[in-house]
Amino acid sequence: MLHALRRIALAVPLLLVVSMVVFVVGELLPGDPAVDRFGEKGSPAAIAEWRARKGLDLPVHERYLRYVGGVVTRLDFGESYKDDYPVSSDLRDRFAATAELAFAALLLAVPAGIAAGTASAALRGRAADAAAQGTALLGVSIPVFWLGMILVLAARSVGWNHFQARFDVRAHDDAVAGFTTPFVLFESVLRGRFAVAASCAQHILVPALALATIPLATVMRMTRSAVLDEIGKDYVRTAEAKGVPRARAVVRHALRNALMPVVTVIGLQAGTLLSGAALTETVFTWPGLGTYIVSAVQKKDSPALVGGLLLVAATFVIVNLVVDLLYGVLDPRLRRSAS
Amino acid sequence: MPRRIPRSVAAVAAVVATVAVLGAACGGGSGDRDAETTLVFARGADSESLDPAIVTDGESVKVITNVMETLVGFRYGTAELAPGLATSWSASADGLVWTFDLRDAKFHDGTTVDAEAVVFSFERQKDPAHPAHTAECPYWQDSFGVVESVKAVGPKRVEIRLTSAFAPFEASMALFSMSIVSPAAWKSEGIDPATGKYRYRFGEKPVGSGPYRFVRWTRGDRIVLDRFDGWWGAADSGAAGPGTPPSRIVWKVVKDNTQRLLAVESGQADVIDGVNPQDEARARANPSLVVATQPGLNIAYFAMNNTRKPFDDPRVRRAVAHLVSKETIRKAAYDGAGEVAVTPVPRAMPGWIDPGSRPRDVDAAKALLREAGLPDGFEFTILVMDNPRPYMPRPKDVAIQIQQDLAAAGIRAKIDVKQFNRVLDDAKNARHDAVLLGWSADYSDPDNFLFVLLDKTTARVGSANNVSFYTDEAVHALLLAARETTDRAARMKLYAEAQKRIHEDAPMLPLVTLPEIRVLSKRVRNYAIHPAGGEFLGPVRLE
Amino acid sequence: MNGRRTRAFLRNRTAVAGACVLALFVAAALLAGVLAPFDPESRVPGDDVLVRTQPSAAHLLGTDENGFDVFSRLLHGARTSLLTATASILLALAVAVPLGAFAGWRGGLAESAVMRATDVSLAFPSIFLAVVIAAIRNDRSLATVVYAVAAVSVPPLVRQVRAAVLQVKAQDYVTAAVALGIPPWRILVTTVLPNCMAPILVLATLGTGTAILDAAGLSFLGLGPPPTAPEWGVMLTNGSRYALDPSLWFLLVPPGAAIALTVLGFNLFGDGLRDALDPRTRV
Repeated sequence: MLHALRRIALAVPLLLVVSMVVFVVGELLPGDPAVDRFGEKGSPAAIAEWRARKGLDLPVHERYLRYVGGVVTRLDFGESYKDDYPVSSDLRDRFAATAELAFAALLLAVPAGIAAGTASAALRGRAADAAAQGTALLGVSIPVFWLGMILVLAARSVGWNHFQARFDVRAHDDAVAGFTTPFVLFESVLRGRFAVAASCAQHILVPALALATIPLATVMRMTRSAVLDEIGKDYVRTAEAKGVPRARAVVRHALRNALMPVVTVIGLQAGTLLSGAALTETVFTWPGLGTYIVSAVQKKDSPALVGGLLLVAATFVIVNLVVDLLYGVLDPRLRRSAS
Repeated sequence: MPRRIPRSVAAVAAVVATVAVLGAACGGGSGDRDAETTLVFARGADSESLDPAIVTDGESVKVITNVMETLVGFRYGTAELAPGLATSWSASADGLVWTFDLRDAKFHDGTTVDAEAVVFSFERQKDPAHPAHTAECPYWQDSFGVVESVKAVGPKRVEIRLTSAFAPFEASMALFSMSIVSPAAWKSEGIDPATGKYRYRFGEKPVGSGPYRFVRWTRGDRIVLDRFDGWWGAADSGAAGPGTPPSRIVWKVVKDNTQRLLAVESGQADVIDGVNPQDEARARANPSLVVATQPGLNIAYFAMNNTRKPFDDPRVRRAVAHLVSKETIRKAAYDGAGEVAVTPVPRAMPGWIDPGSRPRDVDAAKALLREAGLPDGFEFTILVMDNPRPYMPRPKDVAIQIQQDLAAAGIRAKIDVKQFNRVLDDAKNARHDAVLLGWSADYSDPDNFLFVLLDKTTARVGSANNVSFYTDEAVHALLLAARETTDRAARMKLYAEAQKRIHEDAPMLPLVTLPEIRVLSKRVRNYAIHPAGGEFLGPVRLE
Repeated sequence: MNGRRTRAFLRNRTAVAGACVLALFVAAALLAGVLAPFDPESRVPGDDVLVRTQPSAAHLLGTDENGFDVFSRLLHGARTSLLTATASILLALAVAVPLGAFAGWRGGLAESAVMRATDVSLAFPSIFLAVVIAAIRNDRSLATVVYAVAAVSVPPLVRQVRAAVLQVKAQDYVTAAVALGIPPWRILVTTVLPNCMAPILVLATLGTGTAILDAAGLSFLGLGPPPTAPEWGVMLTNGSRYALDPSLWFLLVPPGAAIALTVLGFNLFGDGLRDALDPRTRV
């Protein structure tokens, strides 16, 4: 309990510093957002009026305080420079899209990674071990945007055409418009709208597959070394000596204990996943946070950039906090040592 | 040998496969609405706003032209003016008073399109204190400064007074920014006392009188419009041929050109724009697709800063013109698409002439440089943006070709790639040696290119559109005279004169005009590209 | 590496394969000036501009959309990619090793400060950090790519260096050195750091592979090196426009394969090193 409280207490100042860093980053972006907004056809009067309306003439610290105040009290992330739209509404949709994609990628990568890692450890030194490791490494070595393109072309060539959208917009747009959350996949499953859910699953499959290569290799390597550690321990040897088949000894005993470090690694993968998502989303026109942040940088849309980065960082911190607490629950030793 | 482990691997593989197969099996199942009559238009980027008075980007205009209408319209698929919301109009002899008579039409909210709505739509742009003036209106500022007053002189009659005669006025009334908006919609949520403006966010949920009404916008991804049954134009589109109008249009963002073509090939999209030139042949070879093209009303140009050395010397500019091979640029940086431009006016625009061309001639260029006292060439920087524009799909590669061409005479060009906003900012403030930019037509008149890009009054440092900073008095006189001449033939003569003089001075090099291209699925009927931009789908049918 | 470790490494066939691949690309990078038949930053000379011509004897991998020789750009690209990645990692190490060592060795407030700072930067996914840095510098140069990629690599390196220092610090010979009254900074430099070299070397190797991927990602997002620079990420991004035309495979496959193979080489080599140096080291 004390451990948990301490971790949570540490996360708050961390997020505050993160918000400061992010805000400064927004200030440092070069260029004049007004010029970008009005393009070739802008007039100085239009630009001056717009700057005044956006409060761009206030001192930095004042704007920061206003901003943080808005975020904390009203979840108000300001308005986009690009089109005056509230950033929080954009973030809500974008976050859901990225979260579902990351979740689907983990759903594919974690079981596959744990299975392959365990197998690899059990068969250490054999050809299968090398092959499994080599494949995982190859997956993580291919630029993810290139892999995405290859996957699209391959899937299209066998008649799989569910791309460039989160679901079939022709058939399901009205249904989805009636949803209360932007988590289209999750909500359609919960509501029992299986036609929508199936369409979502189809559309998320290939992007998630491309993204899954990133955590797959790490989960597999982590599992392999954790299982190897456990295999060497006495209790596994004892089990084997008692006649438990090797496979069962590995899965029942070694794997179970090896899972703990693997859980931590999955938490740490959140950041890497979001990073990979920026590139994957671009290839698949997935309307998520990654493309949102990158386009905000290109447009010098500071409110959008600051909001997006803040949300990504907060997600990362919170996921790791949860993993940390979960770890404490799973491992009684940690709880005791902390208190 | 451990036998269970491979089995667990297989189990995971089975789960993955099941998910996939389940998806495949359930997919294509019953949708929520008739998917067959939905037209999906896939494009590269989302709209920025749907308020016609404040937007400047093409992606917003595409949607706006289907939701709202202007007084003067176009004959479908041409740049020819035709009745829009106004059935007829006339100008007084001195060209200062214009009268428009409106047809019977309804807004999507059921209110009537009347003279008051027209006054509202224009007044709110003219008057910054108007409660529906929520942001500066760049087009009004640029082109409608001559409007003195807009008055309703009858329930269906509007009178517009100008401060001075302006020949392109009729054409400019067809500009999307002059769309008539529903005053009732604006007023529906009252005025916010803090700002004095209407609360209604018109740019996010516009109400007009066009063939399609706004339904919803999933930002960054898609905009949904449904057919408006009360559209006046439906009556006379009986001649539109077989098929039924789409019941719904989805404007879907698919960022990558290649992926967009794949989308229309697989039937996910019905119409796409922005096709990679090298993929055009592939689309043409596909029997289930139709490729539509239309000469472009745009121009990409290489502007030399005429106020900076050595580009202040016309001989140097002519030498550059002799070195740059526009054909190579077209072949390399446009993948063979488009048409080499010989003058700053696009070929499809009235008033276009061929003022002669300067073929690539390294010796002539070297001679000119010697004359100008630069026998060993010189060094300068080409400023170029990092993102594609409608007139220039790969700006960086255009810069590379110019750099390589100029090297032949010892001119050393550095390429400075910057974000678009930085490029514009630098160019407008004359902080560049040379810059690659372009222009797309707002209305179908050479004035829109020559005056905007090369008149001395548009070369004001800080807000210049004339980023060559070319300030020739003779050209200025010609362009002003043309603005005030109503006789068409006489006007075109003045523009021809101006183009010849500009060619001689070579303040900038017009490079390439890019045609409009769309790929459609076979089931789309009666589709025509609009030459002056926008993407009006009113008469389109689906089979 | 002593003989036992070398043998352990050589027994690891995948690691040796990785080393061979890397050797090949390093050779290409070193000899690019000699092997490349054309200037990688100029159009192929001649009266006609050769745009997207098929591979031939003169142009082993054809010419690209600007009329540049693809093979020459690929060779010089090895130089660019390896140099940028190595420079980024060296720069990152130059920052991360002192910071991490200081934090691990001193402990206390200094440690907390450094570790909280890395916590903050770790909260940002690497590609966003790189994109933002590239955007703030706003110039197309390899230096920008190096700074961006280096900045991304620092925080994880700091953590791992600190962990390595903590491990060595607990060893008896360090305790003994302290007891003998040797100045702490000298123990750190002469005893602790040399004993941390093995994990740092492994991290640097694996990090170089990641750095190449990060640089390619930056190019893909349009924030890469100057326009004519021969760089694999740029080549791959440009080539991807022609993905639908199989006859133009030479614009898309070579740079993609080069990136994938080099990164794979670093990953295999790094894994092999780790196993050889310490079979029980974890990720």
